Amino acid sequence: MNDEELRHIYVASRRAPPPPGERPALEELQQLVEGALPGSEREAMLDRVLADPASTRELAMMHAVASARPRQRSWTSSRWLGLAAAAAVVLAVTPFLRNSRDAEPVFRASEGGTSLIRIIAPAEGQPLVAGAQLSWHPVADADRYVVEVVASNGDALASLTTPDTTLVFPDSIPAARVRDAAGWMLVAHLRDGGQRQSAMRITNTRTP
Amino acid sequence: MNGEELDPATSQALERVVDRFEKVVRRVGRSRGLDTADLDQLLQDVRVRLWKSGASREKLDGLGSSYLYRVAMSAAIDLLRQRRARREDALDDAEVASPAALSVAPVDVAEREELARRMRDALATLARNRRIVVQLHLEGYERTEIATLTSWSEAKVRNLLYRGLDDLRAALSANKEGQA
Repeated sequence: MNDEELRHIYVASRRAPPPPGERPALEELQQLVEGALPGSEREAMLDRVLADPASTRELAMMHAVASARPRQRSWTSSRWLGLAAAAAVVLAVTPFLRNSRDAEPVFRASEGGTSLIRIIAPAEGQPLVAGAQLSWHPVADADRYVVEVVASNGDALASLTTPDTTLVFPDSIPAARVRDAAGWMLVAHLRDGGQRQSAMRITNTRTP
Repeated sequence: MNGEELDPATSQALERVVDRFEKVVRRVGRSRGLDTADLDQLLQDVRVRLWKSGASREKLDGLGSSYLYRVAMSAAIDLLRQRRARREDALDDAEVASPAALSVAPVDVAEREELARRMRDALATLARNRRIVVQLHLEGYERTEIATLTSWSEAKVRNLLYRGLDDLRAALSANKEGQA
């Protein structure tokens, strides 16, 4: 069952909304779209909103307005910039490991669904260890690739950026952190600002 | 608007200001299945509020996007509050609109109700963080938007979505097999 089929069933499954008095206040929805609620309250509020179709539509309108809000830089972007800088250093000392793109098939960014990038190595289930060579087929119009290592609780453990289709997993990431990794995936950043990703490559069987 | 008319230069400045917001709000609103009339009314309310502020052309041209955002959010909240009060909201009750791309193909009513029940049951089995991400995805939110709404990293959202959709499909299959 693909995502569109799931959506059709989901739309049909929405329940009748609760009485207006039981709905989240509009000011609470505003806090939600503005990121002003603490983490635990935000999660509970989202769960409550999504259980009520009327509130979900109200959230959609507020979110449409909030989408035009001036951007604010978040702490996570700073963290990623730091990780990207560290990855750039690793990549700078391993140019000899780069493969020739000419010999590989190029996948158009417009083909298929979201799992466009095909990973070559390492194989499913293989652990991520320092020195492991990651490789994948190139995506047309990609100007960089980001390897994202994800923990079993969903947290990002590391993010490594490369312009090429190979990457040697660095030893700069503590092994203890890597052992927590549930998997990794690849995101291709396209020149037009779009993104394409691979499927998650699982590195162990633990689940969140 | 109080029977007064804007001079053409101020009117054009007003349109330039609203235009900054309009493209984004309409694009996002449409992707969520919001009615065009609702968006029209919201943007008209924004125009009226800016006009009532009595700002000159120069002042309108110099308005920051933060100020405009506050005006638009205030207009949205007032609009939704009025709708709640009137209880005739097009966003309300059983008339909740579906995103245009999600119009449901006519199938047997009993089968559709059964699928809907299985979907509700399957969603209820998901861990809360996965359920939230999956529902927002099915509502048409992009992963980056989900990350902003939840304040989770995009990688975490992607992981929760990947696993949540797997869980959902598995639960739907299990429900089906359980009935067979």
